[in-house]
Amino acid sequence: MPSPKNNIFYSTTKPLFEYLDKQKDNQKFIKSIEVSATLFFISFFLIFAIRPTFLTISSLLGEIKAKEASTKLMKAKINNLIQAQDNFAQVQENYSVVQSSLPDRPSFSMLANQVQSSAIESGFEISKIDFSLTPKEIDPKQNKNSVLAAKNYTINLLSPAPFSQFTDFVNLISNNRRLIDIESLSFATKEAQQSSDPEATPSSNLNSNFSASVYYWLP
Amino acid sequence: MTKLKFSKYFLTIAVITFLSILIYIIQTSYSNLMKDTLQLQSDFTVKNIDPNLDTDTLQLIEEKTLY
Repeated sequence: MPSPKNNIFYSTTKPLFEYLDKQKDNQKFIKSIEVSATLFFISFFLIFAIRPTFLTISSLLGEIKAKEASTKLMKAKINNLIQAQDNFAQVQENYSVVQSSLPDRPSFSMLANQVQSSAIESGFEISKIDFSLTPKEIDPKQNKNSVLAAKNYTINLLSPAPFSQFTDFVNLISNNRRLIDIESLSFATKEAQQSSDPEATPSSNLNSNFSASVYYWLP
Repeated sequence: MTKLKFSKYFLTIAVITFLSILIYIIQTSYSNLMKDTLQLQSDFTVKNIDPNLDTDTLQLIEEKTLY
């Protein structure tokens, strides 16, 4: 049991310690509120003052950087263009060669003449030539990187040429300078004729069909 | 004691808000900085061209017959 002297001491100092504790808590509280308020104030300032400034500065810096990079790329491209122009001047006389291979217009009559002369050279005549203007779809993967817009049309030939002569004709067409993609070849016997003319050889009773895609480009 | 607890929460919220806003500003500024450069990379007009002409193909065409 505490002595009465101690009890008096305790009863007089207790309120003092309590008061000091409270003061300490109060100071802690005020300090943390001050720090929190400061942070909130800085956040507010960041949103309404710093953010627009930073956005504008970063946009301008980005634009400057992009313009500098663009200037460099364009200079390189112009230099390459000049070099390409020089290279082209050296081979300009051969432009007609390219033109004969991939003309800048459909050139139907030129193609008809080429096919006709190939047929004559092979020793037969063409009975029918069909031009189909519906273009064959070009593979987008192949055409993706191409600067030229390549177009095409289909040609169908029908001829009663003998097999050997027709293969010669196909060889000639394959070696032709014009860009021709042979799609199909088919041969059919003329059964109706065979029955009326029994002396005819099998070769002369052949109907040959030739189908190909012909290319040109539009500048 | 409740006062102290309240102040702690208040401080935590203040710190988180401050950091979030800071990160948001940094992120937006960076994306603004890189936007034009990225657009430039996908631009077709600045794409370089190869100045070397394919003369081998030209020779190949010349070897073919012209009717």
